[in-house]
Amino acid sequence: MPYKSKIRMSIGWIYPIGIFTSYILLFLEYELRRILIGQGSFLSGAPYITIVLVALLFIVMGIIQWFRYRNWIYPVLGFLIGITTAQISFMFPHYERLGSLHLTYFVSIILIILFILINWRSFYSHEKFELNSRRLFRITSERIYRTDNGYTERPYSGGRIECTRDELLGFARFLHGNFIVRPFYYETYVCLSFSMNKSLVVIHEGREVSHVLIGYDGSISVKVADKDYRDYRERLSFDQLCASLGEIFIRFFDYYKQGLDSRIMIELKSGR
Amino acid sequence: MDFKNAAKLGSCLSKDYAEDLFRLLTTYESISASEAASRLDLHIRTTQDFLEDLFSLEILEREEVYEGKRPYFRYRLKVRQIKIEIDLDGLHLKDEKADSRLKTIIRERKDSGARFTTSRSNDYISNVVIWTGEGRNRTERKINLSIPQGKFLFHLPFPTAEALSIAEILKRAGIERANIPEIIDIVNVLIDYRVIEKDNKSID
Repeated sequence: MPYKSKIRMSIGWIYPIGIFTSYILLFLEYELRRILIGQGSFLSGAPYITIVLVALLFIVMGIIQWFRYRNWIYPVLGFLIGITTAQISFMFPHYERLGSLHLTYFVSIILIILFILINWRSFYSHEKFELNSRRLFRITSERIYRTDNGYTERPYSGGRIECTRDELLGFARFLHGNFIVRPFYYETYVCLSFSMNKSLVVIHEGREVSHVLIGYDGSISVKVADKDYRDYRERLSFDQLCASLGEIFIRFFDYYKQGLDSRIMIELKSGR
Repeated sequence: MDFKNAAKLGSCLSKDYAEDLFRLLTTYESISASEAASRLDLHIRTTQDFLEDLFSLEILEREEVYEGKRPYFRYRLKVRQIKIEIDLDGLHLKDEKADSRLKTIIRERKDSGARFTTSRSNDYISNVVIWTGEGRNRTERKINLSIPQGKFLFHLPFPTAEALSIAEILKRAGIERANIPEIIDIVNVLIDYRVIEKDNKSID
């Protein structure tokens, strides 16, 4: 069985890769400047180019994350970190005119910390929801090998479960408590939303993203959003994908009914 | 009289010169298009089309005549009364014909481009939006569905799923037999719009 994930890499991985690359660039630029200064060039020793590139990385990443997640906290944080990083170039000891720049740098750092603290709940919820949604989509596609595009906007009728209204509401609360889905409660059904793209923190309606609807009569319908489907590396058979997602929720509900809640997280974490 | 002929006759009768033309036809033993046109001050082509329509409806008979010039037709009334009787029951599919259609194996067409809107109760499709044409000629066609039609489309197999017969989908959707004609109607429309595809296999 291949170990490679069927889902594309999360956008968050660009940060550690970018930061690691920036250290290499920093070293190279520093060495290059040292050599040029040794040859008599009138250059500053500070690696300004790398610093500006890193600052741009944060700002651009913030904008990219805005387009992907539609969550305003990412571009704002990206901009704050980008501006603060750019100010590092003024902090080098050889720079002669520091003046109030020290102050603005530390004010920026305080602003970043405050921003993260105030919006910690949003950051934490979003990251947990996205992580578990990715896990959910991974286990959904585990046993699907047929590759044939066939996306449709229609919901998939995913079968039926035997449940009472209270059991269903309890199940939805359990999944929400573990950041697996965000539930939306309606008159005749519960919408369990999950997404690898649009942030579950900012949606107002469950049907804006991928979801499983479970009626109080036990009927299940599944809808996978176009953006989430495109996050798979290959075009998996769409009907099988929806059927598999429906089966997973039926199995999770059975675990919940039997009091085997812990199995849900174990199974989610097993997804490759 | 079938519906198409009734519609054609209705269209003829609704013309503002129809009564005058019929009066001429009852007055003259036979009349040519040019004679009638000049008598009523109409364009000859208008009169010709009107008389030809009545001929195709077997209300008039015509005779080809030669009078030293190119041949032309003279028309005379074949009937002295016109009755319009339409059997509306004949408009929907007969049971045996509908039954044979139920064996058609269908599924949604891949990349159909149609947009489906689900009802608030989420157990049927409330409408389908289809785009036709290209570029500036691209137009949107929205088809609002009845509840049985919506339930049928809700259970229609996905483009990559195994195609099913209409009868099987009806069973899955829990649709009653009385709704079969409207289901077959929407299936035909969506086949024409390339939203649904027919499988070559058929159940015998």
